Amino acid sequence: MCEKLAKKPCRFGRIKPSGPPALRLAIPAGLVVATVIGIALQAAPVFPHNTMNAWLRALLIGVCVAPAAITLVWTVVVDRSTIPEALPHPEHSVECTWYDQAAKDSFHLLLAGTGLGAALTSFWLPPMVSWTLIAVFAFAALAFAVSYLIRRES
Amino acid sequence: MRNRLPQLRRERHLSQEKLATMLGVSRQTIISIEKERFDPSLPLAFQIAGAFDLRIEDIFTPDAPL
Repeated sequence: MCEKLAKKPCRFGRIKPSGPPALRLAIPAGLVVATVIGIALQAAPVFPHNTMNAWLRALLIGVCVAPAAITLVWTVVVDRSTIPEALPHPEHSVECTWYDQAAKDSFHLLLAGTGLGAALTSFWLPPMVSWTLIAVFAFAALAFAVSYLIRRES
Repeated sequence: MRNRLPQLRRERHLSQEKLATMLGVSRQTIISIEKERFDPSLPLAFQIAGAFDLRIEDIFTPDAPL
């Protein structure tokens, strides 16, 4: 495949400029990760009355998790400079600014939505709904505070 | 911020795609800068100035005088 033409770009990139295709490592490593997750989760008491065979349950969980696991390993091992058409400086592109702006807007809407939602639902809905919204609000605020402090200190 | 990027680009017969490739950014970035909807980062402004062999202030000018 890609290894015969060392200089030829590989569609999903390489581990390093003259290295093997990133998928060659990502697929087996991702499958191993998916297998481990499948075996670990099949025993989780999510469905206590589940009568399905344990190995079949592990297989199904592994199959579902495998695409995400392979993608995750790929993002870690790939050298993005070897991906064809990848921008050398995406951080200076306007899309990066759009992303930052959208993330900021989403965060503010999340705070406003969960804050107002918690207040309003406390009148009409069971307390669990309001507490859940408060927990989401608190988590978002905490994540913001930690992120802000990390940036201030670095 | 105002800029002379469209004029400079045409003088040098550069397409937006070509300039974007030279600078390592997306074509949409060049379009947005030219339409003055996006102010480039300082490193990108330096890169643009370098690509045209000019100073930043020869290409970009603030909306209101400083």
